[in-house]
Amino acid sequence: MNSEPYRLHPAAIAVLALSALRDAAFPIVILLGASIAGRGLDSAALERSALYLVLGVAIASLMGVVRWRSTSYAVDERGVHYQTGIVSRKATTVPLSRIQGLDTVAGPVQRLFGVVALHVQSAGGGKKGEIVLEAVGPAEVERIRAAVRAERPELPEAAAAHAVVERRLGRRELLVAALTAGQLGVILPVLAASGQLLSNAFSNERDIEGATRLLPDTPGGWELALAALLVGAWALSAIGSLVSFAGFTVSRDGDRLRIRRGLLQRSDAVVPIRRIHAVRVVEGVLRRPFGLATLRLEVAGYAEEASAARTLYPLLPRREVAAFLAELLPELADEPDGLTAPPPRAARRYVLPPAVLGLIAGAAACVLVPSAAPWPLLVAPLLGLNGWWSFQAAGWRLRDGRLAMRSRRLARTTLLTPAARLQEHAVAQNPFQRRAGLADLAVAVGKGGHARVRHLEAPVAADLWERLRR
Amino acid sequence: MTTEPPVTPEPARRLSPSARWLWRAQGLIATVAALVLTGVLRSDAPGGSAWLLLPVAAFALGVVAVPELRWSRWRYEIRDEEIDLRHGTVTVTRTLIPMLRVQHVDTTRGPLDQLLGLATVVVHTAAGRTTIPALDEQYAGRLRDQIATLARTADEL
Repeated sequence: MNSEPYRLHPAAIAVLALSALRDAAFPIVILLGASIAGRGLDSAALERSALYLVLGVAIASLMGVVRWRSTSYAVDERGVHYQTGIVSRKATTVPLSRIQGLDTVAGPVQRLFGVVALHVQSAGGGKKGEIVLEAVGPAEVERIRAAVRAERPELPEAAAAHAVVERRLGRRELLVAALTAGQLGVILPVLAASGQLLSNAFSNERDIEGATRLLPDTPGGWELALAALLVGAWALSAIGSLVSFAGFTVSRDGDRLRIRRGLLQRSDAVVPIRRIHAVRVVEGVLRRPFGLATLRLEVAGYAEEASAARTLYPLLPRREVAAFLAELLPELADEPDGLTAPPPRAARRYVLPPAVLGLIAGAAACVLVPSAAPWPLLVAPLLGLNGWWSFQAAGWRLRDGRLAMRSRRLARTTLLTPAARLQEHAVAQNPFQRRAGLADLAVAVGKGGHARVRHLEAPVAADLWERLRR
Repeated sequence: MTTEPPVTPEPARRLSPSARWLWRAQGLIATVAALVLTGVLRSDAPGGSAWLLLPVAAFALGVVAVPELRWSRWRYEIRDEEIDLRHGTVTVTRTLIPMLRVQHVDTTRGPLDQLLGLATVVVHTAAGRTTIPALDEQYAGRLRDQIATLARTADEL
């Protein structure tokens, strides 16, 4: 058995250079944007931008060469060894006994050169993760496979056959996820940002006069501007999700989940299962009519969690949630349906308080701006309707030590968690609820995740509180 | 149901009686703020002297009613495996924190606390912080150490 170090296929230079460029893409784009925004778009700025671009490509290519030259691997009876880096040298060994599979992945660059990337998948527990040989020729793949099989005859040959469970977000799913990503919450930051931009752009009074002339002066113009703003915000959130969820892959490997995603910046997060305390099934405003949901993770621990680990899966038909969880995360798998609703007499408590508040606010607005009357009063029925929807969404279930709680703000959210994983739980009663014999149940999970179901029967809430204690 | 599980006893321990003075002092500060606000508004706001009711209401609520009610409602209990709290002036909340989840615990003392010889015990879990306010300073220290010891025995991430 040979153990001499090998070098990757030279195509790795291109692969590594591109990955270096991709890692740096965001800073470069920001740098370009800043240089253009700072001095305006003129020929000098264009020249500078082109210079940055050429410089970036040159540096990335150089890094590709350097990384290729400094990377070597070997296969022997102990395992697969991998060494890389010049400044800080990193050596990784995956023992043969821990190899869970040898996957080949052919990206566009690899296909161009007729090579593949070889992923050495290791069994769970290992913190180092697996080895990726970025570019390997077909003959070399066979040699490595043969060497590993000589020691591990039971290892399955095909990548798909080994123990790792994987779900990949398809192109169509990604598109749907992006188109339905629009949250009303996105609009506020956009509004704030545009307000900031305007106040920066027109910092003296003459400019403001000019600006007011630009503003729409017909009522229809305002509506058009608002619609344009909404569409803009929607497009922005769509692009945002396209960029961050492209190539989304989640895989279960022993006692950890691995989540890979991103277009410009590829992120790769590994989450130990025991640190996942809850799953949230989030049905956004645009997704709910189509029966679609996003799965999110509530993770606890002392260390900072990578933000890439917050989404378990960007888009999933709601009825497939239970099956999906049973496959990838059986520890937390539960059915998001079949919850117990608050009592019917709670309905008016969901509807009336916001409606009354809306009425008061609307009336105040009518008094302050008489010309707008009576339109602000419309807020009251809208808030009431929103409350009615929240009532219909609310529900809970505690079965076999698994807690499910569903509530709604704009998006309907179902929290699924083992009761033993709660950080804290509480029942609360305000004076009105005391008189009516109702109470709220609230729980905290993971790192600051909260869920609350309002207006349950007080004895039911108290009983739940007791049962969650054990 | 086989056997009815015993219902958790209500928490019984109270905050220091000086807690009321702490909250009264805070209420007084709010009243002064309301007075200043009234002084600003009264001159030209519609409604005229009706604004004078603002500091009166602030005083009645913040200095007389709320501290008393808040103190009489606040109860806590430290058991081997959990922290049990019951508090709230308008909305009464009963919270349970398993010892397993306590990451660390400390005491803090604001200027008013120091003046009155009080301290606040802050319990940190992964999800956030929970406070037991206005305890006698030395007692708060002992309570903090007790929770820390219990939390260590029950350790899990």
